[in-house]
Amino acid sequence: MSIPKINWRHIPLILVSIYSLFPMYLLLINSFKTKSEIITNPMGLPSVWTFENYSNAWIQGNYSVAYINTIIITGTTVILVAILSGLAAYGLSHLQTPGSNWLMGYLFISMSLPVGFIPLFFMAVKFGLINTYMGVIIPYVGGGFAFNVFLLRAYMIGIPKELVESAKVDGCNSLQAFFKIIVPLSKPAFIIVMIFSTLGTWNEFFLANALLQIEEVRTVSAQYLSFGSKYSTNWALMAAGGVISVIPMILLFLFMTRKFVAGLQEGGVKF
Amino acid sequence: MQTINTNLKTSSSVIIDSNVHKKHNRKRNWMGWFFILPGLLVHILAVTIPAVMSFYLPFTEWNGLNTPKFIGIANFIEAFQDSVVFTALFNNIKWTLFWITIPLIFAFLVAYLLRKVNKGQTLYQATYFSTSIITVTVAGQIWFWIYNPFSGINFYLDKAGLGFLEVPGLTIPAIALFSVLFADMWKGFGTNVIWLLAAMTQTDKSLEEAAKIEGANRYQILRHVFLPQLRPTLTVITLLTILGSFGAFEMVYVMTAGGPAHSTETLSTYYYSLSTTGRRAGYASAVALFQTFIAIFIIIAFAYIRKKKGWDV
Repeated sequence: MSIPKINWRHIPLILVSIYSLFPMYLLLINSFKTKSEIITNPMGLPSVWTFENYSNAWIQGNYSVAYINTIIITGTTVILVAILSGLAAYGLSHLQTPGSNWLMGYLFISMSLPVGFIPLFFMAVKFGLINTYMGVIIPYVGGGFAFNVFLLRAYMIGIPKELVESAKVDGCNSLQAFFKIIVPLSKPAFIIVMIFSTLGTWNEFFLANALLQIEEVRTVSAQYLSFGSKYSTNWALMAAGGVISVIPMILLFLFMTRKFVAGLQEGGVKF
Repeated sequence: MQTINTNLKTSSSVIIDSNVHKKHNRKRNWMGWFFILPGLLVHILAVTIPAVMSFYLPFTEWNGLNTPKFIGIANFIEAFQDSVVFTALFNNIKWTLFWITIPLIFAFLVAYLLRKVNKGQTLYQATYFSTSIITVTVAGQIWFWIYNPFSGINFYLDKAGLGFLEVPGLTIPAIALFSVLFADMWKGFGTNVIWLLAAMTQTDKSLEEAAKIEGANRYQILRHVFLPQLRPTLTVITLLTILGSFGAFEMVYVMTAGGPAHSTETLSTYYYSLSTTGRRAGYASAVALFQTFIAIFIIIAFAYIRKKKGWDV
């Protein structure tokens, strides 16, 4: 077997990369064209780079409101997920809580339970949570709770009990030990839980579309659909709106690429 | 003998120690629940109560606002006479058959190639996964535009003399579902690549070397050495793929909303529109429960196969 200088496998892999990236390239490139130019030149670079689509989409798509909504919902969800799942994972890993095995079994079963979308939807109606941030935040936090607890617990188990014990000897109570010892040492697991919660919440559509029915509270993902129903023929505007919708997650992904891939690998191996 | 003695000593002292520990900590042990409860309450509210309710609601007539009225199995009788339910079920089955073949084989081949690439392995993985981070409404819109006969892409194909590639995909009921599936595959195959590659990097290289020395050819190595080691991962991915396929919703909803003429309806899109716009929460719950039963059946089937074959997953 002769070893070639360049691995031939790059050729098919690059082709697959093009398959992945080309639709996104279309979205990006067409957001800088005029409406008429897209018809005659759908795939090439724009003859004149226009930025009007962005300002129009921002205003007509009501994106300033959608952005604020999404940031509030995502931010609250991620913070609550980190705190609530973190505390619960600590309770299940380091505090020898009675009944924790039983609880783990329950959480495991709950992961395979159906998503009770219809009861959830009408509970929201009953409690007046339709068109409120809380209406989606509660199911987001609750829905990811079991999985996140398992992930964080698996990581916390690896932290030596002696560290927590010695902290307690030094006069920390359980809660202080959690914040002083467990959180700093479980940082990698927390980061993975938080970035995947961020991605999931920002992009969530199923519940957001059903529970957030007016523009004042809609998230970017759900907002884009109603934006599309109004301007579906104006692809230049739609493309700009699309770029606006995905850019924060793209940036997060670019900054955290390794964490994303590592997190997925962990998840895959854990199964 | 001595070792046994010391062992006994240490172990008994450990037992005594832990007993002292337990007694000492019993009061504080219950404290753990203070840490667990806040999150657990949210979980019960958002997951457990809805799940329990979804087993009762299908037996009621309910528009979502009044009090649910118990009507026995009337909803199920209606569901079995509802042609849309069967269309949706067959679409879910088609969805499943597609996802466990083409995208899975494709992801497997990509991961297999990627295994032997050291330079840029993470970059490739990131590239393939990057489609997954696009919000589904935007991804749907991109493909909607690609398929749209008036968008310019088809016009462009005409000019390039590639007219045969024109796909007015979403308007023809017969191929609308496949068009949506193709977009969904683009969005979702990257995760499988990462999972399969993670499993492949954990396989035992020395077994392959040994097989090579024994004179096995490349195909035999793949078939008898490589694949059996991946079986647990492949099983799990297949299970998750099938379960996901029976819950297929987002891409369908944003691209076709179940149309044209219910041809791309899945069980999820059907009960979603029944409950949110149709005000038929009881009936929608029956359709949703039907979907749940399918999922339970699949999980049991997998557990049974695992037991029978003795696979350790």
